[in-house]
Amino acid sequence: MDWALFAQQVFYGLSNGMAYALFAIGLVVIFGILGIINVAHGEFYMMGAMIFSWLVAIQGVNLVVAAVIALAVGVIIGILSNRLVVQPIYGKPSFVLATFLATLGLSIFLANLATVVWGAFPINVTTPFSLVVRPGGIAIAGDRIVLFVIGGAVLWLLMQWMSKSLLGKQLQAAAQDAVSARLVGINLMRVYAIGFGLASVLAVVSGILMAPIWTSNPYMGPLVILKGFIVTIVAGMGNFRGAIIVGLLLGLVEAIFGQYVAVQYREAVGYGVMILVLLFKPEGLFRR
Amino acid sequence: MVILEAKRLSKHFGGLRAVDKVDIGIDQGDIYGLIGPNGSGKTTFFNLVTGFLPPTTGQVLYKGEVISKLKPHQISQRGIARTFQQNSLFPHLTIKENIIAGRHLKTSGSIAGSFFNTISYKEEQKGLEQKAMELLTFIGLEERADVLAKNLPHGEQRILEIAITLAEEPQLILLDEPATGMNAIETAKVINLIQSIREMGTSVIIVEHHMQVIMGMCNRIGVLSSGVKIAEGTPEDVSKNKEVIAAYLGSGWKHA
Amino acid sequence: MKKYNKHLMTYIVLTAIAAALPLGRDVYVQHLLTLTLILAIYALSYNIIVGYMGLFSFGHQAFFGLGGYTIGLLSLGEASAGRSALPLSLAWPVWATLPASLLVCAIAGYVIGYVSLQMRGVYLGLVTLGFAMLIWMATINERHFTGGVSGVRGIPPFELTLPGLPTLELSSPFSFYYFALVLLVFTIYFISRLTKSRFGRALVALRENEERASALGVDAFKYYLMAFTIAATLAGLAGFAYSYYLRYITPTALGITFLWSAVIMVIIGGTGTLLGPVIGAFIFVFVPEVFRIAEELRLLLFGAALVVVIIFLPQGIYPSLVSLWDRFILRRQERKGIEGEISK
Repeated sequence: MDWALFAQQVFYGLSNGMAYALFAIGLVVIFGILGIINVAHGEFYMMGAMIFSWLVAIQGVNLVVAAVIALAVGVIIGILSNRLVVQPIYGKPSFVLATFLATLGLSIFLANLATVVWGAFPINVTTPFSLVVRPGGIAIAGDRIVLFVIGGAVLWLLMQWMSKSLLGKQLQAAAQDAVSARLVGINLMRVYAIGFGLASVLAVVSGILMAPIWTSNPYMGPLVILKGFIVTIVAGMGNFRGAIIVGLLLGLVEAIFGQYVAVQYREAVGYGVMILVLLFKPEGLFRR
Repeated sequence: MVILEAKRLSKHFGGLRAVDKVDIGIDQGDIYGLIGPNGSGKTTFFNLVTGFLPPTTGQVLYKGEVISKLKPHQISQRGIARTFQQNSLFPHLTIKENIIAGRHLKTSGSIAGSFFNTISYKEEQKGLEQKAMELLTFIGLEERADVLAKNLPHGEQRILEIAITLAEEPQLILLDEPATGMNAIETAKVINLIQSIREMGTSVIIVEHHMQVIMGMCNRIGVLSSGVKIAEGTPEDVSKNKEVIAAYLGSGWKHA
Repeated sequence: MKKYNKHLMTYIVLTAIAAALPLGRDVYVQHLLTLTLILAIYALSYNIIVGYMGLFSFGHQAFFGLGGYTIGLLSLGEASAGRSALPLSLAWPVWATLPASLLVCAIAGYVIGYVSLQMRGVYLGLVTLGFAMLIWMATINERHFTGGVSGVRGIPPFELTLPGLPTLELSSPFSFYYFALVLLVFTIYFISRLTKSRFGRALVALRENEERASALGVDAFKYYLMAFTIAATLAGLAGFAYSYYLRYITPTALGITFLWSAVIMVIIGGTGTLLGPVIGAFIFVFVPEVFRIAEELRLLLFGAALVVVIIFLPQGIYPSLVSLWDRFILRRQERKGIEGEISK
């Protein structure tokens, strides 16, 4: 067995997995706190990636400035989406399905808005980190290292913040029991708005970090959201730690499967696993 | 003749024993009242008998056949009908359509029959309409046959609910608090309805807080407290039973 | 019975109007009309699941595409097979490809439904989506069999030869329009009779209250599975017409865009009605044309429209129009009543 090749796939898979985890955790935040599924989460990711790539690759803006602008726009889109699309339906009968469909509408809207603004062509962005080193025959891309470091830091900060800060605790309380949360004086609508904003930040961050690794185009939202669904379903809806683990594992398994079984069906593994989990353990692999 | 028998029937939710080793036998033609404080396991008992919950241990026999592993629709096919405490109509169907839904097991029309609009399809359709109107006349709702069920006042919704189970022509009916939230006139209507069910020879198990309903109609009463059957007998026996009185007083029972 | 006749009259008039629509129009409009009818069949089939079962499948596009691919692959002959570099050259005639594509979709619907219908709500949506994505991926990857990304091209025109009759060849949008109209009328009649049957009543009872219906003896799983299979078969019928009409089929037809289209047509038009999805299909095809909206702006507007409809008209456009009309009639009758009182 060629161990360098194996190590290569492990590195490649885990870094993809970090992006999956980072993306899925935003879905988990929204599902955990609001109890809804935000289909437009994929388009939040796409918006982050596109704005960042466009600023850096076409407008020649500084990396950090571009990232800050992308984040700011992402947060505004998140807040507006919550205000205009989710809140009007919230609490109505069958709102889970209604918000699913409404955010589906939002996702179609945003994807095509991006096409109108940037055209359908993919944008490729290179950063000062876009170089490859080969220790021991393993190709390691600098952008993937950046993804690992920043992504890991964001996830760690998120977990710390959720368990330590007052607002984080309020979010968790609202996630567990909305009625009691209201009774102890937590303003639910505010908490929901914050949760939605936080989730969109996470989507945009993963979009920015992935932009130099994958090329970005306005139509990538659905492909990303499907990965997010796979991760959240397999982990168990609303499970933070589980989503991180499953995200990393999914990336790893895809890479290994692609290398040793069938590269053209690499993406199919996730769907297969999701269907099996839904059938045999619909509450997910991790308990909440 | 025993028609329904629960043998050491138990349902545990984690540590909570919602129903615990309950033995109950219902004879043909019985009107059996099941009473007890809130949370004593009456509705759970209904759900066990009708297949909506699988028992933890014990079994339910209907006419000698073990039915506790069957699904709700299979139990219904054997002739057991039930009502629910809440939300148990088809809200966006008309009153007549609600009754017709109750005739599901008594009809057999195929899709092809409907597609070609065959004679037998038309006749079944006609029969259904007739039967539904008969039942509606019986409960006094014939003039509102085409009103949507959700637009009926609460009391009449509950009566319609019983009428749907009657449309099934079952041999055993389980009524879950049929007179809840009803005024005196509506309650009297329900009592009349249950009387006529008895006259048809159908057995009834009834959970109810209205003591007027229970004491006036039932020939036998079982009392549940914290999932355990603490007494059984005629209305007089039960109302004198000290354990029963204690159970009600202890739980802050209000005479509804 | 009078009411029944009135309904029949309405449908005859509507069909007559539909039959007159393409007369004297230019080919492009005829093309759009034909496309509308085919998409209407697809929307109606999706509405069986959304409107009558009250469940959400996100894998319906797979059946549309499967129907289209089945006829595409089976109808290719020597000449066209060479062009698209596919190994098959069966050259099956229409009377064989039609039952074949319906059968493929029925089997696929039954199998996918059997597995997925153990679930409800969003979970059901995601499992069906998972299956559809797997089929989509396989279609793209198995290019020796399916033509890969470029799909199946060079499908022969729709040609039906019956003994003793001249060959019926539908190669123009105009002639295909009437074939699609026949299919649509059949679909509407079929669904309308379905909902009036014992099966349809049980289905609606399940939608309204699954718990109550099963206590009345309705076997939820069995009925859901049957309805799901029927919906898949009708989606296959739409895919069949689509493939013969355009004479090519690509993986887009079983991709996520066609799921979006189905959701948009059914939700905007109105669920649980016969005319809602047809109106939805009409809006989907024609509104962008009438307002001369650029291609890339269309889906943008439909995305926004979906949000607006869900917030403000959760039942969809057609049912809202119907209740508006009812209210108008009611008010007019009331006014007449009052005037009558006064004149007395």
